[in-house]
Amino acid sequence: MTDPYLVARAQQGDLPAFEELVKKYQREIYGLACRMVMDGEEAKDLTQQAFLQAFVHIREFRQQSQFRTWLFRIAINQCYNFLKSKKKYGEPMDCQEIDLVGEGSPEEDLLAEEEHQMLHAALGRLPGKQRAVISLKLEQGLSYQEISEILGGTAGAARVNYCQALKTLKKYLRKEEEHEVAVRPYPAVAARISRR
Amino acid sequence: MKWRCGLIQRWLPEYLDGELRPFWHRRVETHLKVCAHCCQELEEIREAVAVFRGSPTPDPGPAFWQEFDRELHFKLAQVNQAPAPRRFKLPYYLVGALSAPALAVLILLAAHYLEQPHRPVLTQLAAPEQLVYAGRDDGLWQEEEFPSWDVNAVLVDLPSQERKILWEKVKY
Repeated sequence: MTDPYLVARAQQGDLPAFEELVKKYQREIYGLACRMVMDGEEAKDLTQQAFLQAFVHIREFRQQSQFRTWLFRIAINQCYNFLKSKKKYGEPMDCQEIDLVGEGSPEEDLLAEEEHQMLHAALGRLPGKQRAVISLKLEQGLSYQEISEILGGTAGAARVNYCQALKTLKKYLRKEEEHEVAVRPYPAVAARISRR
Repeated sequence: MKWRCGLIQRWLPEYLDGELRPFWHRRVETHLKVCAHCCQELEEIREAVAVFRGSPTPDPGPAFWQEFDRELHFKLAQVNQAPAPRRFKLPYYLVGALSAPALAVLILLAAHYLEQPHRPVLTQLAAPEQLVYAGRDDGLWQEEEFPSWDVNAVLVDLPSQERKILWEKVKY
C-alpha cells in the first residue's frame, strides 16, 4: 500500500494504517535519532515521541510534501528539543555505546570499534544542525531539496551546510586520531593511520 | 590557500558524490590535476565520508523492535481513545453578523431603562389621622398651624378635571 493511501486512512483515525507507516519508517527515524542524540535508549524514546506527534497531528498533514519528509522534520524537532533541554539543564551528553556485532576477525572488530568510537566522539562535537544534515545526506540519502524542506532554508543553503559539516567532521576526526595515537600507540592503530 | 582553491573546495562534496553539473565537474577536475592542496582536501573529505558510512547505526534486533512496537501501540491506543479536541469554530463573518444586532438590542434596552425616571410607587395613601407632623409634640407649633395632611379636604375644593390630574400625580 502506498504512503498517500495509508496516510489518508490514518487521517480518518485508522490506527492499523498508521502502524503500517510506523513499521515502514521506524528504522530510518531511529537511525537518525541515534546519530542526533547518540544514545540508544533516548533515541528509542524520541522515535516513539515523533510517531506519537505525527499521529496526533496527522490531520494537519496536507500531503503537499512526502510523508517521509514530514516525519523526518518531526523527528529532527524532537531531537533538537531534547538537545536543547540537555544543554539547558547542564547534563552531560550521555555517550552510551551501541554494541557492534562483530562479523570479521577480532582485529577487524577492534579496528571497527575504534573507528566507531572516533566517529562517535567527532559527531558529538558537531552542532546539532550539522549532525542532522550529514545524517540526512549520507545515511538517509536525501537530496538537498528534501533536506531544505526538513531543516528549513533553501537547497543551496543545505548544500553549503553539508559542505561545512563535512569539513568540520574531517577536522574533528583528525583531532580524534591524533589523540588516539598519543594515548594508545598500538601497532594496529598506527598501521591504520599510516594506511590513510 | 588561493582564492581559486576556496572556490573549488566548496564543490568537493558534490564532486565526490558525482552530483556536479558537467561545467563545474570539468572545472574541479582540471583544478585537481594541478593543485595538490585541493587533492589532499578531497582525500580527507572522502575519508570522513568513508568513516561515516563505514559505521552505520547497528540494527538493535527483532526483540528491540517487538518491544518498541508494543510500547508504541499502547501509547497510540491511548491517544486514539482520548476525545479529539473540538475544532468547530464560528466563522468570523457570522460572529460579526450576530454581534451587531445583539449590541443594538443591548443599547436599546439600556436607553429604555435610563429614560424612565426612578419614582417610588405609592399604592395607597395613608389615612390622614396616621400622618403625624414631626414637630407636633415638641410644642414648636400651635394647634392651628399644623399643616393639613387630609388630601380629600384639598381635593374637595377642586373641580373634577383638576382633581383627576392631581390625583394621578399624587398616586405615584
